[in-house]
Amino acid sequence: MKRDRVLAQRQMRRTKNLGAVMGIALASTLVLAGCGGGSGAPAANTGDSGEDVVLELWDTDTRPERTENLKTLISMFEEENPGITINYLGLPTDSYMQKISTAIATKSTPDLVTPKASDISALVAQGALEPIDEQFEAGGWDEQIATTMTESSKAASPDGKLYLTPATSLADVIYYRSDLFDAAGLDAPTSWDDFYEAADTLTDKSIGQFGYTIRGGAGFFPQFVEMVYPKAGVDTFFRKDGTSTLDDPKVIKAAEEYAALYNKDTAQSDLTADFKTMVAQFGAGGSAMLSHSIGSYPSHVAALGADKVEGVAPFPSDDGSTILTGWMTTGFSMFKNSEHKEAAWKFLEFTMSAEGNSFWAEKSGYLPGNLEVADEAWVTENQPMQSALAAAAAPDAVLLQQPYYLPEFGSITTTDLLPEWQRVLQGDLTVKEFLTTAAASLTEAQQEYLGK
Amino acid sequence: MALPTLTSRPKRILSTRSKPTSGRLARFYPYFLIAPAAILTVVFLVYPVGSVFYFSLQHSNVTQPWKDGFAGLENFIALGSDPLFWRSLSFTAQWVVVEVGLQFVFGLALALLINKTFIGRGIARALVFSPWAVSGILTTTIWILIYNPSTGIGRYLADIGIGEYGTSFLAGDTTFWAVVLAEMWKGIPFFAILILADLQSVSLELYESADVDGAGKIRQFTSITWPHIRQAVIIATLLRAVWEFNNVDLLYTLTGGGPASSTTTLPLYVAQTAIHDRDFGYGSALTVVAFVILTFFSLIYLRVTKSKGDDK
Amino acid sequence: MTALLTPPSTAKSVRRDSAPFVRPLSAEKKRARRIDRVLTYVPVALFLVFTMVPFYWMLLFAFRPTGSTSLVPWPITLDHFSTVWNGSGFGIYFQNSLFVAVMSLVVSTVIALLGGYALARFPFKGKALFLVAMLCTQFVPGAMMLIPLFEIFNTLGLTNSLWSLIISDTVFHLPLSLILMAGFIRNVPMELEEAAWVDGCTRIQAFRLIILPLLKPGIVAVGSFAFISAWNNFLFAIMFLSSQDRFTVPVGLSYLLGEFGADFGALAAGGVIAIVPVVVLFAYVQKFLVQGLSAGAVKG
Repeated sequence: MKRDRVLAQRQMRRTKNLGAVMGIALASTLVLAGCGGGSGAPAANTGDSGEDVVLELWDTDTRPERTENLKTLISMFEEENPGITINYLGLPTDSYMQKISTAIATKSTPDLVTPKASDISALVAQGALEPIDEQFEAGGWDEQIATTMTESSKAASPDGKLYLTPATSLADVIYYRSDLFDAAGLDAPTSWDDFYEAADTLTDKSIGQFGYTIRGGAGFFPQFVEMVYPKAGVDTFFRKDGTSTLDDPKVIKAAEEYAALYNKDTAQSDLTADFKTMVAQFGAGGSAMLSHSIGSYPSHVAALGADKVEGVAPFPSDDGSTILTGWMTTGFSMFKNSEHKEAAWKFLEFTMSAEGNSFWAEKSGYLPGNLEVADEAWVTENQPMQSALAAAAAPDAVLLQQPYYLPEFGSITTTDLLPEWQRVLQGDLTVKEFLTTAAASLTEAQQEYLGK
Repeated sequence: MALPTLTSRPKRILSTRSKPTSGRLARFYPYFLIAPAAILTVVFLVYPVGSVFYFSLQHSNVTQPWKDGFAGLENFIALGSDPLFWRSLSFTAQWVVVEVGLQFVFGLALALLINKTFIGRGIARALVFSPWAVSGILTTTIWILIYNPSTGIGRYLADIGIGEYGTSFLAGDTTFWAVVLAEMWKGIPFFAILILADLQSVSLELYESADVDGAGKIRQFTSITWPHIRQAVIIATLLRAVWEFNNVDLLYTLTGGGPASSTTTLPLYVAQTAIHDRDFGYGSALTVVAFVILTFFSLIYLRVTKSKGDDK
Repeated sequence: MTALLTPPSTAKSVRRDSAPFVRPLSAEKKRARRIDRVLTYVPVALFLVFTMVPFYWMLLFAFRPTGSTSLVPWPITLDHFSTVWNGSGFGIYFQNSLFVAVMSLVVSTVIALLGGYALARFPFKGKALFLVAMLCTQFVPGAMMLIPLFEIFNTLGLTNSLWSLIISDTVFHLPLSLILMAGFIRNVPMELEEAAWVDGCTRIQAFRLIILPLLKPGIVAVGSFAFISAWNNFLFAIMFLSSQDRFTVPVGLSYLLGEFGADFGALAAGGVIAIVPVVVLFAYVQKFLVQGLSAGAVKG
């Protein structure tokens, strides 16, 4: 019995030592981590005197190349503005809104953010952004920035004020495989008839090639608008009386032609095609045409090579009018709770200045807001951009403004309409029924907005 | 069922004096032990869970703040006449039952297989358990790649003549099973790992003596294996069911709840409503309903599976 | 009994008359053995195929040049990896993820051991209530509780700290860890503990010396679940942290998916980078899942 106790005690000591060792290891990890990752607010904003200001910038569309470009833009700015440092934080493209909303609700917003026009309404409704109209005018920017872009940016907000710098803009184009067109003896498409014909000719199910990729899945609405409104020749989303034009007979007719493409000239899988799937199909040679914005041009070039893919702006309507779609501005904004608004404004100015804007727009592949920059060589060399600009130069071209200022616009066109659109493609719902219901919801939202 | 004891001395009847913790303090011993868990839960979860209940009674939409205010039971009444709510509810039941059932069956089979001795067992074990280590985002990424019609298995099958080009497993009648399969890939190891760990405490001698007695494999399973792992399986199944109920990562990314809302579970609907559409009040009401349903079914489940003599 | 399993080669080297008497296998026993072997290897092979095909698919995309459609990643390219590694800060993300996961593992397991022991060994008042409460915490998705949680962490001064992740990961994982651990502890017979008490050990000593070694499979299972769950958590990482250098691996991965990013190669490469360490670690650790009862029971 004594032997057992001695053995037990010896084991106890061993385990005690082990325990001590583990305890020390644990404690030291804690201490080390405390230095690095311990509790603490984000980098403290030192000094209100204007010396050595640190700004926090949140990026809403973080991707490896874009992050690099944005960081370069920031360091270009920092070089010219010693005393201002900007800390970069990348938010994932699919969940940035949730993070920003949480920050707003808990009063922990940063100084700067990179919104798109479609984000503005939600952010302004939460009282998060600082209007920049005064500084914009005072700095003479209204003469340096393309008016259409400035107008677009203001139109995105419920109160019509300017909340983001009109730094860059997207534009819708239809991409097509120039090599497949050549091989089939087709010229580059210049009209809707060309388009629908080519979609048919280039479809060959037996080799897995389809004429077009129709977006049936998440985010379908912008492409729907791109392919329907220009053909219909309707240049506004809402009539003067606040009713939606979605159930306009011309829109319905164009939409019927568009929806008829599904499963005839497009893959059956397009029913759930989101951006990734569409681009993958286009890049793998599964489809000859694709509708998207100029922003995805680099992806297509990377997958296929610049000699195989070209982009063309959506074609004029049957009665000859040119409707421009997808011209959504993306830029930079400052938060209302920022403690360094002057420094933040300096950065916002930089994004619109010739130097900053040129760099940023070129690297992003978006249309520049600065008028000087629009004349630069790289703009001319970007083929889809040129096509979009050429269409915009048409004398009667009208920019179709999507009603981003409506708070329900996002949820109606994504969550509500998507299942119905899929039902249309599956043949369970007629286009007319779909558009009538959609028009009703949007009309309701618009009436509420007008009545406010 | 005697197991080797530490010493070869005859077992002595324990007197209260030799029990290690006696006296007045002994009664509080268990409470001290569960204190850390209880404290953490109370501090970090009571307020958040409570706030969800609070918001279910409010109109709350941060992007339309003029509509905010007390709603009473309006959200719940709206729920009742929301067809998508009922559809998502029935789909959720289908999803959970099929998913957990299949994961359990295959997980059990896998655990029993891996428990045997065979060449390459160690490597096989390491490999078949590895899906569990893969994060949610990656799992969905991998399966997106597999199911993608242009670059996935479908395309290669079409190359050799099976199926058509441009068809997607996720866009037709096969959607449900495609997602089930993807989720199973991740869920089977969960059960397998647990059951395997549990199986370790079954004495090999029991099987040996059963062999000698002439009991077949099936009999051995029902009399030795199953009673032993039963408790762990019951709990694991319940927890897994709750997890499958609430976790929408895969569904969200693979199908987005579609096509045409055919694969929307209740929590996915909550995510769409509360997070995407920012109607936090309605979303909270949906969450509360889900909470009540889960509580109800958990209690029933536990009662039904409680056997005589088991303490919870 | 072990004699039956002696491989033929050794039997050959032993002289017939000095070998222990072994009844040769009857024909039906041999067939039964073969069937058993087939019934083992074939299903295992099937499981392996099912498990490995997705991994292979990811490797295929990670190492294959963009645009290629061959089923084999040849010629191999490392471009995707350099895109991912240079464009993101995966080094830091790994560090942070590791810290969070290890601490979650430790905290989770310790609390689970304590609470599990109480659940397994003591019938105390309020046990049912405690269990139900633990269970109920699983019923509300974390995404609905972000703002209150954030406020709590704010009050505690833990915003932008990795500890907010550790705590939230632990708290949400506790019910599973607790209940599982209780089950494993219950599997260890009471007699072993009681024998130790009779020997004069305190409850704590008995626990440490007797029960703990036998709990290895259980601790491995529970601990690895906690580790992996914390490692893979994305929502809390993105919501509670606001410095780029505090982000974790799942956040880094999320940068590769998005409206304008459809670079499957980079995505797959990122996946490989994120998965490999965890899978390797897990592969090493999971062998402790099968330490038999013999390893520890009959010692000293």
